[in-house]
Amino acid sequence: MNDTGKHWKAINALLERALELPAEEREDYVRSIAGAEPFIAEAVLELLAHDRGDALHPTRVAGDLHTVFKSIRCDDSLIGLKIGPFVLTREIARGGMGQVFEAKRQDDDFEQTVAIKLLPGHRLNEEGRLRFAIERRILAGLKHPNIAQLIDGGTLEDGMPYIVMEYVDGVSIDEYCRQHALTNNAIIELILKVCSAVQLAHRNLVVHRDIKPGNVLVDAAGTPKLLDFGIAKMLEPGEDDTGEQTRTGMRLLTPAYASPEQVEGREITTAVDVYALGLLTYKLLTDRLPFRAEPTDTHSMEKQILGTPPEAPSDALRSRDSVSDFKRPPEWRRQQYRALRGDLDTILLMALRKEPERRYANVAALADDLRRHLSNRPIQARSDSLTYRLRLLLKRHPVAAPVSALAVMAAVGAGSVFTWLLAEERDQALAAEARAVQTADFAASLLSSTSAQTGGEDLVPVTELLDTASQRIAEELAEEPLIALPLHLALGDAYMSWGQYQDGVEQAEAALSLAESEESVRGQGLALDLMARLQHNLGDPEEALRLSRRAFEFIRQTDNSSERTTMLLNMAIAFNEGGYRLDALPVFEEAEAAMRDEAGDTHEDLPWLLNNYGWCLHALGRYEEAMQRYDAALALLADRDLPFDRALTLSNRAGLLRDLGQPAAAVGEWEQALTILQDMFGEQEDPGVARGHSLLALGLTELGQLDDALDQSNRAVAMNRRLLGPEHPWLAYSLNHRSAVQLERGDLDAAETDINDSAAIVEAQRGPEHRDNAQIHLLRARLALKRGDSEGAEIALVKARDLIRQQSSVERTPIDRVEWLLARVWAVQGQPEGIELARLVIARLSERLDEDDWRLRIKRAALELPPFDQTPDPDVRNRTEALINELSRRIGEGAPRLRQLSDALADAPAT
Amino acid sequence: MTDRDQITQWLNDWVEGDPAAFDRMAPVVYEEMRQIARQVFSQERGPHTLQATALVHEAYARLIGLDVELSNRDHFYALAARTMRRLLINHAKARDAAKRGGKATPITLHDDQVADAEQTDVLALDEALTRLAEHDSRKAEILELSYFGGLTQSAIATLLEVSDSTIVREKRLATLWLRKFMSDAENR
Repeated sequence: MNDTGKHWKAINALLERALELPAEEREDYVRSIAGAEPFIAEAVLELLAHDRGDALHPTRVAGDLHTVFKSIRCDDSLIGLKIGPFVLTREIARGGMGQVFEAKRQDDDFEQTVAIKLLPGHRLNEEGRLRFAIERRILAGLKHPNIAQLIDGGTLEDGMPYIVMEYVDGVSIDEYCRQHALTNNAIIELILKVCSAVQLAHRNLVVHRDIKPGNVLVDAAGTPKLLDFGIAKMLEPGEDDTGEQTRTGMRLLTPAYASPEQVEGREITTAVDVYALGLLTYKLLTDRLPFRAEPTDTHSMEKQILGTPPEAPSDALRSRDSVSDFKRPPEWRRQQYRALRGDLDTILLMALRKEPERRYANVAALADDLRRHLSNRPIQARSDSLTYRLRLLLKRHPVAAPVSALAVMAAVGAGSVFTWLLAEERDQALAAEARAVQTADFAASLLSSTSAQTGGEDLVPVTELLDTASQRIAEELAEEPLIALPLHLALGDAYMSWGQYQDGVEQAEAALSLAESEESVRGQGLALDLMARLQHNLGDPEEALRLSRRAFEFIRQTDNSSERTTMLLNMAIAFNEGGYRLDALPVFEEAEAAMRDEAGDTHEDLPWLLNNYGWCLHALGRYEEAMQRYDAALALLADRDLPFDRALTLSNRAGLLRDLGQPAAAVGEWEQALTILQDMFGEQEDPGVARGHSLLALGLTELGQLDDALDQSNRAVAMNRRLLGPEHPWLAYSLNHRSAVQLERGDLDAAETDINDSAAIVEAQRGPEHRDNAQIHLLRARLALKRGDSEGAEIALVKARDLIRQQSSVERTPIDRVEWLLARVWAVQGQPEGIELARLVIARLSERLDEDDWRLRIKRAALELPPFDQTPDPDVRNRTEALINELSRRIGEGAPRLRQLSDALADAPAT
Repeated sequence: MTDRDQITQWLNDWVEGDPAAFDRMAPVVYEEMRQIARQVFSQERGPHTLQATALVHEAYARLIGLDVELSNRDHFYALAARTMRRLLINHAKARDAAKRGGKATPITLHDDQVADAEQTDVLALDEALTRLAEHDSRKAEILELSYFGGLTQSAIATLLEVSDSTIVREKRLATLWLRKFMSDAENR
């Protein structure tokens, strides 16, 4: 030291000069100058050795003072501070918002150790203290073995809040799991205990908001204790709060554990805790979090939380850049991968959904699924809950004009169809989810940019929407065939339901070529199916059938059996709806067998299959078998939350009841169905609801409750007009129903208007040869009859009959109605063919109906009255009266068929 | 909190040559910086790195306001730098003491482990700086202002009333000495 001091100047001078030279020359230079003074030379050389030419900081020292500062235990001086009856004895930890001290009670009477948490950053004013006190009372009421009990709290003189809690001698849960090398099941058991704590809090309307490993301590006995309940809320700054948010913009939360809605500052609900629990479990099982960023890079973290779909836990383990906190051998990773893949992936991803409403509805649901996993029972979480909504929409076929419905269809429908297409292995689920999000975004942006209106009386230019969509897909998604594909399919469906079949075909063709180039078997199947339905609507049933069969062949090739089953079902439905009932039957059978093979009664699509199967049989006139299917479907639906399926099945069953001659029961079920639909859709209108009204109107008409029927019918027509516009086939159907009501009521002009409107639609949309025209002709005939125009009626009826005969006659048609009326007309005209035809109809009916069937009885009775028998026997009159009385009681006085009979009776000459 | 005007006054006094003013200001500054540090760092995972500079800015802004003359500010920073150093050393020593006695309950493993390593360095840095100051107070001061005050080289030059190039040169030399003293200490 002294030497150094003595030679200080010299050393420095030499050092300075040496530094000016390149590194390799320095040593020689120094020795040559200071050769005579070895001390100086050595000193300089030693110093030169420290010159690494790098940054002029000593590298190990506080280039990052931050770390140093962090270790500052400010306020060590607080030890010894008295708070109430307690004295701070030792600092335990640094909590999320302040320090935690161990404190002991100062009484002579008894010993008590507690933990006291100081919250220095949140000095409270008057109002703040009051709020704090209220919150504390609520939290103190949370008594649960897994919640660190809040004992007391208050504020120090300077406004600094403090909390007195149960002292928990333990380590954080992630540390505990590591120390004890817990198995997955043991970890889940721990989590379940935490869940039960959170559930209690939620029942008391307390949300934790800051669940993370640091807030869950586990004591030596293995009991987890949740800390810091609701503290974030307690300390939320009010208007006048002096709580200091520093200028560096800190938050109260740990960014990595914040839920999307917390990041965005939106409403906090219990869903926040569901999310956090999912994250906690994720961390414990995989040693990492799904979103990673530098600790200082809050912005990047937030971006990920809001926008990046989380990696499935099993995938996280495979990630190459996985930096886990603790060292794990590769075998562990492999084991965990296998263990987590599947249900745990699904459960956690569901808890981690960005939208709160798409997560588990509550902690109990999450806990239940975890328990199911532990006991190897099937879990409730859907790996993609969009799938259900997609089917919902495809079932309803026509796209409702309100923007929201189209948005749902495009976003949901496309997204989940896409999931079907891509989910060859679950490995791809991630990609699918990401793309689904992208697709939904696309659809959303599409819709917001069009001129569509939401609700109101204005017509939504849906076709404009569809055209814009089609254009944008071509432009923007040229590089993304796998997104474009389901969108093409969805658009094709939409065009079809709007009757723009050619446009639909273009979409289907686009979809098909994309599917071919992407070699997607299922994609081709779906595209062909779409094309088939379009061809059917374009009036080429043979082509349609051919395409359907081709589609079917593709679907058969699918490896994934559960997807195949669903596809089978769709094929069956496609055949059915196309009118190919006989082709549909074996496919229904096969699909049903496959479903039962897979999951017995519990297959989620089974009720829907049975419904459609029943409809197919119903249409074929096999009523008993149809009823069996409907009943089976309803039984299964009884304890599932599938209201739409239930409504539709009830509606079909009601139709069957009506066909079986039980109009009152039918009306009852139609009413039920309608109520369900109305509950489902609430304020929102929907063609399904409109249809419900329409069918109910039909049933009421048959019972003779004509005013109610008209009311229902009016609603149906109005709703369809609003939703679908003036040219949609479904509007035509509801107009038909209404005109029937009007006819019965005797308001013939109104009936005529409706018939004309309907006819216009059918002719434009379906063409004059389509079987839907038969209904129109029938209605015109009835109108004509009411006006006494029997010639006009005859012409219309013959047209109707010819049309019907042209179609395949496998299924029931209005032929009986048509021919009966025709028989009457001929009888009125005095032609003997009349009564022959009438007998023919009765013979046909009696093959199908019971002898007791009231409709049959009425017809038989009618045979004995004008116009068939102009001179009835006297006891005919009595029998007829008796029949009318009986049926009036059973069916209803105003029932049109009865009235007809009464009219006929009245026509009979008195004797 | 002491009156802002008061502190400004003290600062002026000190700049104009009254050394006593420094003694009056120092405890206030010290306390203020502790407050800041306490708030900032009682959060477990602060999403930021608060460098010395920021802390000093903060203290300055709070105590004096942002609109005081530049030259005064530099003086303040010198003061703050010194204070910062004292702050860190005190706590490092206290921490060492705590470790030797009592139970050390782990809090967050990482930060503690890392912090321990840094702690040693701060003390070693302090010792090395002290040694350097014994030989050459200007070199030591330059380093102190640079590390603990976060001053730029030209600010230091202004403060010490020398040229920029002098500072650059001196700092380089000083750094070598510092490293030497620190490695000496390690090898002891």
